Amino acid sequence: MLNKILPKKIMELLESNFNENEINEIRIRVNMPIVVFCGNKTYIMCDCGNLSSGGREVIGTYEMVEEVVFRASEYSIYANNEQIKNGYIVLDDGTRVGLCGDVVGENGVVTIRDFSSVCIRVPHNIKDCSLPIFDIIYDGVVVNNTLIVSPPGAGKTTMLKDLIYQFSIRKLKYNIFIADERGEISGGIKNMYVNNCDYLCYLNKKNAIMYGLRSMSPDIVVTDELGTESDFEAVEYASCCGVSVFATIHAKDVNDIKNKKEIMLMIDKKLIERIVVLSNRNGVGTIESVYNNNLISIYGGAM
Amino acid sequence: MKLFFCFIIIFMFGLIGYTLSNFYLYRKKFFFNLDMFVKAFKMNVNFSSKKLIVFIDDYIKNVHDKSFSQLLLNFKNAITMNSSFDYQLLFHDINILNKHEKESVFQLFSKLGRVNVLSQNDYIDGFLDISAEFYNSSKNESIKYSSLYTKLGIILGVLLVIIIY
Repeated sequence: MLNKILPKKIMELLESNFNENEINEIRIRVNMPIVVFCGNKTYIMCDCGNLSSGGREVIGTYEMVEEVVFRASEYSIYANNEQIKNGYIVLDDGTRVGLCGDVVGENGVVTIRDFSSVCIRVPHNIKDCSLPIFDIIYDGVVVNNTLIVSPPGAGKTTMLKDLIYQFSIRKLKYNIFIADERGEISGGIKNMYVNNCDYLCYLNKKNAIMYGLRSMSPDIVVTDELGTESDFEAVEYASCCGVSVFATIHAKDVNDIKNKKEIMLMIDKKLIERIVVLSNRNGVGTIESVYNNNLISIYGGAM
Repeated sequence: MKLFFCFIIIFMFGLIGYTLSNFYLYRKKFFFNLDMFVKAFKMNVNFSSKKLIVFIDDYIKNVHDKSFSQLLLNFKNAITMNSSFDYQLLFHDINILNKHEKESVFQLFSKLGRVNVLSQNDYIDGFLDISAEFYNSSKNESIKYSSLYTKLGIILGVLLVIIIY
């Protein structure tokens, strides 16, 4: 997918100097060196590979950034305004192109133009990465409401996708509904031959979850990156409707969670039963610990 | 035999005149199609929001002008190829436009799909005036010259026949 959106020059350098399967992130900023996160390391791209091999830095240009946005929007920026005003474009395979530039708008964002940087995040399907915690989340009878917690880029969505995959390969009779506001989960799922889930993309979580509950009668609702008050309300509503919920949220550890009022309310009401904390410590997706609804560690971390 | 040769000469010159006059008809047709395309694209941007490539693929099916279909194909190839969008690629195999017209058309196509709805509308509105002007002048040229060349061809043929025989 990268070859569809990156300018030829950058793509050639990537192909000749990096293992494409290990690339996590590429950052192109106007008038600044291009940065590649690959195999858990950060490289500054140079004309002969990366900085450690010498050579001159490859500097991002306005044209490069514009070209990436143009290609990522399938040559139709006008047709992607809803995504652009939220600051990203998601490709079919779940690759997310984050955008920065000049915001145009009076009451809120109308659009972004004159893009100054892009952050291309490449999703990876890591099969079985959720196996160590699968039995904690599903004990054979009950699917526990689970919140996956980590800082950005630590593998929350990858873990979420693999959880769905695990339910699929075990042929468990659970219907999974994915409220995929940004199209990132479903993008990856399409390549994993998952056979038990329905997904609704590009609709805000609140409406998507309500829609899913009404129309798809799911057993498990999956959603990514809770943030706004309405997201928490929707998850709370779903939890009270007899369905299990898997969700993710940005936080460094359980102490950060304690500072999030909405989450603590849900934990107090026993609406969240498992909290999985991930980090980048030993590579993306390192499972630091799993907590129960009393915030007691039941896997890894300090018991 | 003489009569047959006379007919052949007049026919040949008439045909040359007709071919020359077609140049103006093709130009008129091209600018008419360009104007229609831009208007249709504006509708697409504001209402159906089809992706540019899908829109072009759908639109091209209904274009019966060789030069304009070629322009759309060239444009599609230019943006989908992983290289910079350039003038030569866009006008490959199109010989009916002058430099000024090519520059204006290039300006429009270099902005198609690259900007948000508001800016896209502004670019299109700006170009619609230019395309109307191109169409009107090509229409006037066509009225002025297309029948003239055919007539001139036939007259030249007749003159040649008179001179020869």
